[in-house]
Amino acid sequence: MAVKAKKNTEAAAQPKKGLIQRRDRKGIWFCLPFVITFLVFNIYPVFRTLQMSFMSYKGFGKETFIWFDNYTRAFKDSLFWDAFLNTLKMWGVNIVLQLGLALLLTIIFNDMKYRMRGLSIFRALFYLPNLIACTSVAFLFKTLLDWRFGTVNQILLDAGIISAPVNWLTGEGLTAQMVVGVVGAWMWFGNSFIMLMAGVQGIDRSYFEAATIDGAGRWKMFTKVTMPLLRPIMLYVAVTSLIGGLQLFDLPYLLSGTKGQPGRSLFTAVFYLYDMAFNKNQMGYAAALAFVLFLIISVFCAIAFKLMNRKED
Amino acid sequence: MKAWSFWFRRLIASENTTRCFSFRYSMLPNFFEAGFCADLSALDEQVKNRLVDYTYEAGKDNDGVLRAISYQACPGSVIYRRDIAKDVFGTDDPDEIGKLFASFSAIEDTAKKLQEKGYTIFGDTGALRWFSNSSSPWVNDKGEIIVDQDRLDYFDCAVELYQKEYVAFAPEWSAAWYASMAGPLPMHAEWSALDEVAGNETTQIFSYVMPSWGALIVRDNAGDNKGLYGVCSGVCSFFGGGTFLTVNEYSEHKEAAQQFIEFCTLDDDTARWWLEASNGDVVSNLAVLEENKDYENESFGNQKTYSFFMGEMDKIDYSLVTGYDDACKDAFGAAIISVQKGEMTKQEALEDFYKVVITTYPELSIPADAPIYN
Repeated sequence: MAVKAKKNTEAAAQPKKGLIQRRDRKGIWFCLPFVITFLVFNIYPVFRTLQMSFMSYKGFGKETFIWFDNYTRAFKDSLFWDAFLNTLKMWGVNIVLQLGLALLLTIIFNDMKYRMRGLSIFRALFYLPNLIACTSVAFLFKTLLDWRFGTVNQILLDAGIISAPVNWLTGEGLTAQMVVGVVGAWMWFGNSFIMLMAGVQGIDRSYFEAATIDGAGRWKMFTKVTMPLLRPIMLYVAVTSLIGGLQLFDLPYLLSGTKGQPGRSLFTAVFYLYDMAFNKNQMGYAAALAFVLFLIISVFCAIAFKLMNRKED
Repeated sequence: MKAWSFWFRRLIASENTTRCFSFRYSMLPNFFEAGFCADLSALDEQVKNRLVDYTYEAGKDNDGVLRAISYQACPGSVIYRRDIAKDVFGTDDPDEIGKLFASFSAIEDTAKKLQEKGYTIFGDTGALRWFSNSSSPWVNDKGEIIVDQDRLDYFDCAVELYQKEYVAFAPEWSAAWYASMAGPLPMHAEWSALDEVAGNETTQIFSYVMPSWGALIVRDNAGDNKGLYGVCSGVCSFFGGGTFLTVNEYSEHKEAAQQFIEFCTLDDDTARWWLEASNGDVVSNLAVLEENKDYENESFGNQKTYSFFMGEMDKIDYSLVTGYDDACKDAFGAAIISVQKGEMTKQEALEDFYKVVITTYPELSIPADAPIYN
């Protein structure tokens, strides 16, 4: 027995050359398409962008190494910081509406009193705007919000809410920014709703039962049970929204007719970066802006994590 | 320069089978700098002596080496309606009408007179941008951004024309703008489909400021107004666009490619053929233009349009062109729009213009006598 056990131990300790190694090799072949695609389309661009950020480079011709000049310029670039502020404004409106609406719907759909039916249908309906291409959404809202012929102004005028057509997208910069925030919230609240619903449904029912027995009302239940237990999901939604929101580009680009107007108010950080790279041919500087943006997003994410986990600490 | 051209540039560098290619005038500096264009110095003397001067200058890189040649010349003009000119000013003579566009203040007066009779001077104030290079380059040799009195006049004129509604608010390339060439159009059509603005008050546009290819657009969209147009000079001579041909530096068949370009640009028969085939395009071949200078263009009231364009080309000062022109014009245009819409004062808009250009091109500077310091 002792000899047999020793043999087993030795066999376990030695690398299994035959069958397992062949299996490993097959596994590598299965992984290879993803690995190659990942290396070529994710890893290489990141390192190439980093390299370019230290260069004076137009996207063609000579590349000159200029150390941190692009980064120094980025920190002094008032237009970039204006664009970043615009991004924050648009994202701010977006996240408040997006999370607020998603949370409200989550409460309604989870409240035993309302006994809402057809959750799967509503979930699909709420998620639908996420599936529509941003170009189509932009075109749709551009048509709806046209200040002379748009449906929104017609309805508001007919209802007597406004006395003159509102210039939603080409008038005041702030109005246009708010519009982008609202449209973004409409596009993405369905996704947040699904996340929050999954989070709420993952909470053990016994907590709610215990709270009911203890005499907690619906508001107490929501603030003392649901919200604390939802915090990890809220954090996830907020962080992913922040990462996406600070990279906002397509919606303002299309809604402003690719110009960022009125008065550069729809110029976001990524829009500015794009303009520098492909319209102004300053590829090196645009690469540095991309990394500055990456740093900013990292800092914001760290702050978000810190704030959301503060109580637990 | 848009994103697609960036990828196109990459394609050229990697594609060894492309022997020669054609591209727009605005792409020339980048293509030269990228090293895609082969040296065409062997044709330098011929191009210098036989083609329009500004096209020869434009085809040279920063070191003065010829790298691109154009079969086209695109001098600018004011294309105007002769019937409206007679109605409002009592004459349709190009020299007399040219006086109405000789300066920005003259343009304001002309616009006012036209409005009194129910007409508008341009589709929109963007038409004035062609005159933004009237007397100084946008950036001088010292790297200073130049906003001289002419540019300030252009600024004021664009604001006045907009705020007093002397223009039709039909931007270039909009449906209303095209439609206006054949007859009345609704005011404030902007980019809307015509049926959407059918109820608006109507007007007729008096003139279009465009390079010579624009005259072909007007002619082709004139409908019943064909023959009612004329061409005259504006505030200054200018040019815009044009197709250039070059040999791919990476080609293994440069000699054959050069011969092909020589055939396309320097051969008189080819120029004659293109003049006829295009039905009115302006070629860069001086000899062929000279042959046709007395041609009476019936689309333009039998005006001798080639003769007119030859005169305009002679006045083009290529030394005013810089690599910063597009960026400066865009930023200046945005500043004008801000004032037109009441978002900024003129002072704020000019400060913003300098800020945009300086931020985009940190190597440039604001001169001590810039209008924002006055």
